[in-house]
Amino acid sequence: MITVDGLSKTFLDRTQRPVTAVDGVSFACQAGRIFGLLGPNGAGKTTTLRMIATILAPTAGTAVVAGHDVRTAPDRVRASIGFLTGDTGLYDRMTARETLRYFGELYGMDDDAIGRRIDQLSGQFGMADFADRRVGAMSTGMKQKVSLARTVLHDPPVLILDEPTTGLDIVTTRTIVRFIRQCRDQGKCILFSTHIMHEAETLCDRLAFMVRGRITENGTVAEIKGRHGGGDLEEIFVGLMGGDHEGR
Amino acid sequence: MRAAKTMVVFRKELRDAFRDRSTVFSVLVLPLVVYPLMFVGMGLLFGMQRQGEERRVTRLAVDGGPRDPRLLDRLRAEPKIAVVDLPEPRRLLEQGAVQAVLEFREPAGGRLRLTVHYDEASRGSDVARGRIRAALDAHQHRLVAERVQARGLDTMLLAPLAAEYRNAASPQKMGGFVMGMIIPYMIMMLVMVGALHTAMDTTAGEKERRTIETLLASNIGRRAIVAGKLLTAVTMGLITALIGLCSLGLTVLSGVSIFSGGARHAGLALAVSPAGMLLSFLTVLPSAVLLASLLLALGCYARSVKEGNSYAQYFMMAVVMLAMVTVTPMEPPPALFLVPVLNTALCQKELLMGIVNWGHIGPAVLTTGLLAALAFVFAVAFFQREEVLFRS
Repeated sequence: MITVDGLSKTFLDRTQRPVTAVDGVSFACQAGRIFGLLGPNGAGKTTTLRMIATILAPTAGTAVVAGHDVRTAPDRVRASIGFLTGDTGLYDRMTARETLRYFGELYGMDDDAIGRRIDQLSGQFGMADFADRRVGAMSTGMKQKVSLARTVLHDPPVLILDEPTTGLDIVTTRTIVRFIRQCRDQGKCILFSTHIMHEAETLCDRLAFMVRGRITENGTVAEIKGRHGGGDLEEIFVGLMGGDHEGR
Repeated sequence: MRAAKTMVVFRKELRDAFRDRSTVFSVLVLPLVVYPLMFVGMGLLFGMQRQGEERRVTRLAVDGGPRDPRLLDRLRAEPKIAVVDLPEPRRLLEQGAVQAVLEFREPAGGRLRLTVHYDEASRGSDVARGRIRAALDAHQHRLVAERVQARGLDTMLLAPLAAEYRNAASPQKMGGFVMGMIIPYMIMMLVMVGALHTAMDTTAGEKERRTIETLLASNIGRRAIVAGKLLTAVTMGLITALIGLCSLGLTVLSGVSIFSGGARHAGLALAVSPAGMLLSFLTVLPSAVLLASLLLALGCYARSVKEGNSYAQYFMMAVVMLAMVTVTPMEPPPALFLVPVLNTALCQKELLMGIVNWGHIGPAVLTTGLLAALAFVFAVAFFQREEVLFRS
């Protein structure tokens, strides 16, 4: 469902010097599977996901999403994905229903289909009580539910979730984790980035470790543990990063 | 499909704009309340000052000598002049205790020689100068008439010409001329103010609220996004201008605004025909698109609404300076009709006077329209540049 092949991204820094944020990244993610992209802050996870979501253009390499190349068919890629980041904002002056209707219209859904889907998602995420409340007057948990509903409104086959649980309370985090599992069970392909090891370990079918713009490990949890003599995933990850630098 | 999505963005942004207090304030409250209050306040203030000066009796001090008693009697007979004889009259003029000083100088060649001292920086003294000049002119005519009659001649000898000056401008043209000093300037300013808030809120505001990524990852191309935002900014600019014009019209008709005096004096008849209104809209539209496109590009570049507004201040100054040209009564050379914003303001001024000059409207619409199209392409290009959109 997602095939990433030699994807690279180079930016220019403030002094106009090239900085490689993503360096030849390759991996694949299948339908009905959750693929976890792990890495510390600044590892290049967000840049990778932004390129796959066509928000950024790759410097080199490409990605094929649901059969569409991000370079040649970005419109079709966008129509096939639901994109969510942990700090995604919503329009404060719009209600949840208006927000969902807006994005439904952007995805080319007709009025009836949007209405039915809003009712369905409203029930699924328990949004009925605040569907007509303006987003600016909602709690963080409510906003995240609206964001999740917005992500799957058009029923995309692929979900790209960039640290969707960062900074959220335990209840909202559980809602999101449950939602990701439901989507997998529906046969969706889920690409998911996080730096929370426990979350990745319990949720992902396959993992890739990303350090300084490169994939340093890729496989199932069992395969990765097997290659590193078992033990804790966090210890393996720290080892791949080059050791624990704390106290240096 | 692209046009349909542009309209989706437009409808959303328009609704969002009318829910934003700062936008509503600048689009509705400013033109409906603040500007009329300002104009009425200034009108009342200037009116009161003018009436006060007209009612006030001029204190005229006399200096030098020998003094002409007939002239002094003539001046004393003026109801709005009080002749006073005080020491150090020039110092009194500087202090504002008297409004003018009439200095008698040594007669020469049989002529009475006078100097009128006044303070041009003082409105009261300026009024005094006018009253004294009128009284002296009347006195001079009387003396001349007496001398002519003493020689047994007809006083008509002094007036061989009987010229009469008639204003050929229609009341509509005069109304347009008077209001043409302010309306084109107001239109451009209000278009700018209305477009500015929306342009910044839909670009820099979208970055600030972190909604930009969601929008970019949605099933819509960037050109359609920019087109939808542009349409909103242009619409808000035109609505602001329309509300401002209606408000200005009502203020002028109230009879107490700063413009009402001039309008009454000119026999105001601002009757713009429907065709004139359509032409007016057609000439404003390219400038509105041009301004809104450039503001959107600025908003894309800015990291926050605050930063965008600070950039826009300089932009606003340029628009003000261009639009201010119409406040002057100059006859514009044809080349000025190629300068964007200014050409729109100049065309508005002509249309207000009932003049439809295609030699001016054509180049103005074409050049500004072309620049507006380029500015839109520029705004789209800005919206597609990652280093601009994700500048940190």
